[in-house]
Amino acid sequence: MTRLARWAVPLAAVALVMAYAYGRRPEVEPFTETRFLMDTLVTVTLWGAPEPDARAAADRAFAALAAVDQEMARVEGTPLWELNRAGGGRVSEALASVLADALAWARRTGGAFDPTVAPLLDLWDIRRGPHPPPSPLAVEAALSQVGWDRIRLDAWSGRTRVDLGGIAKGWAIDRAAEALRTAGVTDFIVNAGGDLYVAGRRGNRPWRVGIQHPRDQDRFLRVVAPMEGALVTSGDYERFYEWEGRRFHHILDPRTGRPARGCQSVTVWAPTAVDADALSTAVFVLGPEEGLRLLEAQPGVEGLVVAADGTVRETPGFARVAPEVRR
Amino acid sequence: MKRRVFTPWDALVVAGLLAVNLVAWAPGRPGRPTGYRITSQTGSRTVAADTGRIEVAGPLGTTVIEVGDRSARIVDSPCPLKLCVRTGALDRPGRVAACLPNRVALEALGPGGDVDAVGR
Repeated sequence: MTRLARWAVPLAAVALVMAYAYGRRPEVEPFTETRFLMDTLVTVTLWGAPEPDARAAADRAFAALAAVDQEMARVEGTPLWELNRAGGGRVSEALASVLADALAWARRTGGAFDPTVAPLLDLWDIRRGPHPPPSPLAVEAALSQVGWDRIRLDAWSGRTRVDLGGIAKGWAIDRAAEALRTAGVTDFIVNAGGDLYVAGRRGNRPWRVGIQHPRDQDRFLRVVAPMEGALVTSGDYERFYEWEGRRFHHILDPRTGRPARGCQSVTVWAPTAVDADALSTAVFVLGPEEGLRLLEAQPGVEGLVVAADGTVRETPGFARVAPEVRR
Repeated sequence: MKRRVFTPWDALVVAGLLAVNLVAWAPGRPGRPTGYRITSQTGSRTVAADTGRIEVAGPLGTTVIEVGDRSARIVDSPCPLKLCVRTGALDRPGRVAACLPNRVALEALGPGGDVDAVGR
């Protein structure tokens, strides 16, 4: 046997191990930047662009998000705050557009999504932490100030206040995605507090998104590789407190004035985040049965619902737009 | 006398080559955080695993973070709901705990994370 033949098998073994190890080598990491904006944590993740370009593109995305925040947050000094204080007034094109979207979704969801829940949000004040829930009389009084049909885009009738928390974040995510595309980035995730816009891929594989399990912080309900578009989740575990064994959370039912009780979480996929944002809130309020019917009636929209009893249901096309990834 | 195809020395050389390759290429302890990013109002910084106790100032006061060898967690924060503390230990890259009222976030970094983002 020649010396070469004698070494052929061991060398082949070494080559195989090298090939295996190379396949498992540490991946190149995407560019990631995180900031506090819109009262939440926002992360922009980009793939493929060299660092200076990626940083410049991310800055544009953050600027787009900040612009929406500065106009539509319900905090002193913003145009929305001024609009609520004055009970009407002239608004910018952007604010008019979000108000128009909000009213359209209020109409389509029969008021399950309602941008005038501000009096209820202020009454319940979930962010304050554990405290006794408001009295039925107080809830009734706040409910009397709620009603999306009091708003006209050319006029403001009746006493109410607008909160765009259920839709402006989605609109801002869409603007950030637009800014990234304009900057020439095609592969990215915009993540605003767990509400996502996903575009392109992460190199040679799709982006992988974990959908949070609503009752176990350490688990994902599912890991999916979503199609290009928005994946927005509303859950009763994001902002809540417990009082005398009951959970009080921030998604309020505009019909009862109390936290909606039909679901633990709702995840909606839609081509735009503004639609996914409004729909995830509306479906949460409506509950699994009516909520899934609403989703199925919307073209190009899919969703996954975890009911109050923990059962998981989804629209027939959810697995197509967000196929599960094997782990 | 028939000559042996492999000697013990051959086996030793092959084993050595295999070991060198594995050490050179394998991503040591996949899935475990190699560091943590702490984001606050003043910006972001990265700390190594096993850094220990870190105090981060925010608008409401001080958020306390414990960074261990295998995981890190927010152990105290001056927020009313304490959702950041309830998040528990971050033991895989990509996991995040955030105190929104105090504007402090903790994110586990490293290769081998199972997801690129979490929808919540």
